[in-house]
Amino acid sequence: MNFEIYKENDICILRPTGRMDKETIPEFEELLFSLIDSTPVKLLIDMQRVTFLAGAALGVLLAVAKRLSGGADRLCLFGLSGRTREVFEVSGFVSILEIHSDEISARGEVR
Amino acid sequence: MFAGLGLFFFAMHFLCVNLKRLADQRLRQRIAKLTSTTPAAMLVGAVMIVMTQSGSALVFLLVGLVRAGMMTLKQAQPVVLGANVGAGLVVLFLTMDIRIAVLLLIGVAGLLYAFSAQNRERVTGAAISVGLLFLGMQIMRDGASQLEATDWFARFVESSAGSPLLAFFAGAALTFFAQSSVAVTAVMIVFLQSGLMGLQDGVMFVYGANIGGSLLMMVLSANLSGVQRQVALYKFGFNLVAALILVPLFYVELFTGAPLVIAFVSALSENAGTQAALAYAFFNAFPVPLFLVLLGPTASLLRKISPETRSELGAKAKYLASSAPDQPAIALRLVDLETKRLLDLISTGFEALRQSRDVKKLREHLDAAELLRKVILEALNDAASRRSLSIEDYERIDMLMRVHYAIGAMRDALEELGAELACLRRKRPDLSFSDSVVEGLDAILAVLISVARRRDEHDIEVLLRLTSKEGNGINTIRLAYLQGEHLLKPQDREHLLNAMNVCERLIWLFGETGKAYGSLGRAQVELLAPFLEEQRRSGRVTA
Repeated sequence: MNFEIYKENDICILRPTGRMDKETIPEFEELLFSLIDSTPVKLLIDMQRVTFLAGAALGVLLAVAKRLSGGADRLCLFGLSGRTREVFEVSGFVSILEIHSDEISARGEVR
Repeated sequence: MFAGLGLFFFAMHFLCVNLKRLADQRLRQRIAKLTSTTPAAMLVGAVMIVMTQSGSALVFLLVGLVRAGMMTLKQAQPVVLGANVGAGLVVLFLTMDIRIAVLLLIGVAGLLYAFSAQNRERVTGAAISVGLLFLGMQIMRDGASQLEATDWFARFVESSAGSPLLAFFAGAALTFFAQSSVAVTAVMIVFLQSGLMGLQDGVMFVYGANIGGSLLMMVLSANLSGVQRQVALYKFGFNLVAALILVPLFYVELFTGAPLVIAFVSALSENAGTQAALAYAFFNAFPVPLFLVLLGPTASLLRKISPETRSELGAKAKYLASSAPDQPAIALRLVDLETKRLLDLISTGFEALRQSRDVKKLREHLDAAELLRKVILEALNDAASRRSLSIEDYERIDMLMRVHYAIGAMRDALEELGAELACLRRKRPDLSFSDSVVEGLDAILAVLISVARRRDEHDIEVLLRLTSKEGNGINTIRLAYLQGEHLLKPQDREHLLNAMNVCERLIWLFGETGKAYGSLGRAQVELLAPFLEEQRRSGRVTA
């Protein structure tokens, strides 16, 4: 799994590419926590290029959202489609995490 | 004779079914305690096989006990050896004329079955099966004695007589297909007693019947794994060793006239049927001392050949394996900890749901989890039956019961879901639903496990939202699939709808379990600390 990171003031956009499964989730988790631990951040994750999403990845996202809740920090996801969206729908995580249709909408929300 | 054969096999099957139902947790625990020493374990095996005459029922029980951590493989081995000796006694018993006792047993058991309380059905069912088994034997014996008078049969027996090797293969083949060396030997004894077969052929037939049973077990064990395969291999090894020694000895006796097994059984009885039954008993008894000496090495070898599966290792009780502590509060905390392990075990079962096109692995995993759940339920019932329980203890018992009934229902739902998903994957590999549903459910279960571990209010709130009617996303998925864009055939649609309904049931059960945990409050681990420390020191619980 590859990650691209863009930072713009307090907004950080993470673009993972590939499978998010039990092999790659630890790396993903480590990266997420290093991003939110360093400075106050509004974290946007682009899910468009994620080809497979394991249930455990949702647990990691939930833990990050929990850590960021209560302050000015935010976690937003966008670009969900096909199978990835289906996993979010079945699990009900669409009602727990902040999800936007695209990057513009997500950026607009966190500004 | 054919009617007797049918009755015999029906009774064996009926007996096996009733015994499996009888093997509840209390019986299992009693057996586990009784088998603490080798002679006692052998006696248990012998008594069980004499009473039940069903090797498969015994294996079923032993595998369950070893998997649940209530018995070690080394403890189970003498039970198998005792059962072998007991099987020999059963065959000897079958040669006796006990018609009156059999009819009496069927009459009493039948009346009790029809008119006694429902909870006695299993015991009376097993008793009536034993009676029918012997009645089938008697009918066969009567039929065989008439067969002797028919020309064609006499000519057939005459042509095949005097060929022990042929009798050996006939015994092996018949047992392989009939799946019971006791049953096949019983039929052969009828032939011997009616003079339709000679003793030499009869002895080799008995050896063949035992080998046939082992071959069958080997074929069956090819699809088995873990403890089941270990027990099957042990039985196979026993019979193989016996045959490798006794078949050459038979030919030594035949060609040199040295007094060996045939001379031995002839000296003990003049009745041909009893002689064959003695040969059967000898086959199953004489390697016992050797196997008793090698209990440890054979157990290590079996574990090397067929190591316990991941689910079997996970299903062993960790906190409830030793005797329950006196304080009800501590006993309940241990139940609580073991229950968390059970949820972890169910979660690892999701691995079997991923990409799988058959449900065998999932079923094995769920069966192992069910064994652990039964151990936990028994401990819970034990705690509930104690005196001097506080109101808090009662509340905790009630909540833990709710958790366990929900987990039991989850097990059934997961098995159902596994079957539907396997079917969908075979018929419509292009549908992403199967993969998405496994990952989605796994994510909710992970939140439930977190709730069970920490009782964190935020986690409980999240779980309740995920499993609420509003949060549950199955409905959206259902609408998307059923709007026709995926062009489903009616049959595929039926499987998909079934799978979705089971998913909804599972999500609801996750929510109910979470609610029960919410009521239990935060785990007071500090109360357990001194107890667990003592257990660790004594090596009963690992860190």
